[in-house]
This record gives sequence, structure tokens and C-alpha cells, in this order.
Amino acid sequence: MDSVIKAAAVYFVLWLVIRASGRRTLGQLTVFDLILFLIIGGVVARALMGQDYSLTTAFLVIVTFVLIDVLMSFVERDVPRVGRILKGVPTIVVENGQVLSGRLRRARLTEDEVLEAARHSHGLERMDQIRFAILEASGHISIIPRAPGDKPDTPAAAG
Amino acid sequence: MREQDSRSYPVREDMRLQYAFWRWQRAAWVVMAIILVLALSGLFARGALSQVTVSGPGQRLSLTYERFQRATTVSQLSARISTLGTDQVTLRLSPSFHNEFQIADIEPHPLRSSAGPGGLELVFAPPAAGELAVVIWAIPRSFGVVRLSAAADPEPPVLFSILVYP
Repeated sequence: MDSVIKAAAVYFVLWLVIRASGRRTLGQLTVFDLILFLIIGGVVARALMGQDYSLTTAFLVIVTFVLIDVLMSFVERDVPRVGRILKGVPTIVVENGQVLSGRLRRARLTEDEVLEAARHSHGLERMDQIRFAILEASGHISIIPRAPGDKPDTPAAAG
Repeated sequence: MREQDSRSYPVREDMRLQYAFWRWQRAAWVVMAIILVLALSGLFARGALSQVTVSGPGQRLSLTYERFQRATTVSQLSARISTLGTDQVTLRLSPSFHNEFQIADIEPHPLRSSAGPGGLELVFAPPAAGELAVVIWAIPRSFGVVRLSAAADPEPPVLFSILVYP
């Protein structure tokens, strides 16, 4: 029984900590971030299992994690308001080539990271070639380039 | 359109929620920083806030222990006992100690030990001079508040409690 409670507690604490660390962590994982996550995984695994290496405990912990995850996905799907809180909402950080600097700063992103995403996904070179850059709820930056006919200084139709 | 306003194209934003989340995120960082400071100060075991020394009314027994401990993590309980010129020194620990802690080691090893309804009784040979210093390494079996007592005859017991974190 305590394995199930421990696993549930760990799930929610981890969820809180990862959400508090921000989407930046989820989308733009550096090698160091990845190592940090591996260390977190190791620490949690030892706290959960302790000296108990039984298959039963491992099975209970896995089932608890998967079941809570499935329940959360149901909540996200069926209760949109709660889903937006649990998952986060997309945020536009570049609009018609203009950087929304307040949003970028709060999201702890830099213009270089947006440009990197633009180069990576569309081979774009400059900010004014970007129609929209969106920090997705998943933490990835989506880039929508300007159409070939769009003038860089003309705001694109929105709505 | 201001930065704070929600756009509906190309994605439906909810900037009120997003700004609330950013505020919550900053508050969470502050909370995590406070947790770290408290951890360094010993609130979660092993630190200045955790270490405490208590003595019996006659000052014969002095106990140093951690008032905050973690379940399944070994912790130290030190006892200093005036020998009063006797050829044996007895340290009695309450039954709750026996029930709630697993003893990993005792230094020095007692001449004999016994456990009964009155708790755990450890009998030591006194040192050639000065006080007897006993160190007990014990592991809390579960979490919660554990009320304990320790006594060195003929003094009445020293009462103390330990908060064990999960």
C-alpha cells in the first residue's frame, strides 16, 4: 500500500517541480538538463524503492504512475479549463516579425533561441522572416514563416 | 494589440492564465529557495536546527540527538553518562525506541543488553576515567512523531521526541 501512496505523492511533487521549472526546461533540453533529469530519476527511484527490489513493488509503482497519467489525460481532455492549467497554454512570442519581449523574458527565452528554432525548422535567417513564433504548451517553439508575398513591415491579417 | 492581450490566431491564447502561471512559477521558485535554506539549516534533519542536547534533572545523563530525522536513514543518538564510581552503567531506552527504531550499531558495545516491557536495557563497563560516552546509530522504521525516553539509573528518565520525515 505504501508503494502506491509514495508513487502518487512522487508523481504530484515531480509534476509541480517540473511545471514550476517552466516550459523552457521541457522544450529546450540541453545535455546538462538531460543529465539533471537522469539524476532526478535516479534519486526518485531510490526513494521509491528503497531496499525493496521486489517485482511486486516495481509493478505497483509502474501501474500507479501509468494510471495517474491516464487519469490526468482524461481530465485534460474532458475538463478544458483544468486541462489548460495542467498542460499550459500556447503563447505567441513573435508576431509579424516583432518580438513580444515581455512575454519572451517571462518565458525565459532569448531571441537567439527563437532564431535557432526558425533556422532549424524553416531555414530562416532573420526575425522579420517570421510571421509567428509560438511557445507551445509542450515547450517547443513553433515557427510560422511569412508567406513569400508578405511585406516584412506589413502586419499580417489576424483573427 | 498589447502584449497582455490574448490572441486568437494562429493559436487561442489565454494570457490571463499564462500571466497567472508565470506569477505562480516565480512564487514556486521562492518556495523552493526557502525549502533549500531550511534544509541547510537542518529543518529536514542533519543541521543546526536539528541537533539538540538534553540533560536529566540530576545532570547524570546528557543526550544529543537529531529532533528531525528521515525514515530509513541512519541517525546518531549520543549519550554521556557520569559513572558515579559504579562498576556498571545502565542506559534504559523506552519501548518506543525499540519499536520504532532499528539499531544499526552501538559504540562501545554493551556488556549485555535485554529488551522487555520496560524497553531496552543496555549495560556498559565504565571507562577508566571521566564520563561514559555511548553512541547509538539507529534507523527510524517509519515516519511520524516518536516520543522517547532514556534513563541512567538512578536518575528519572529524560523525555524527548523526534519527528521522522517520510
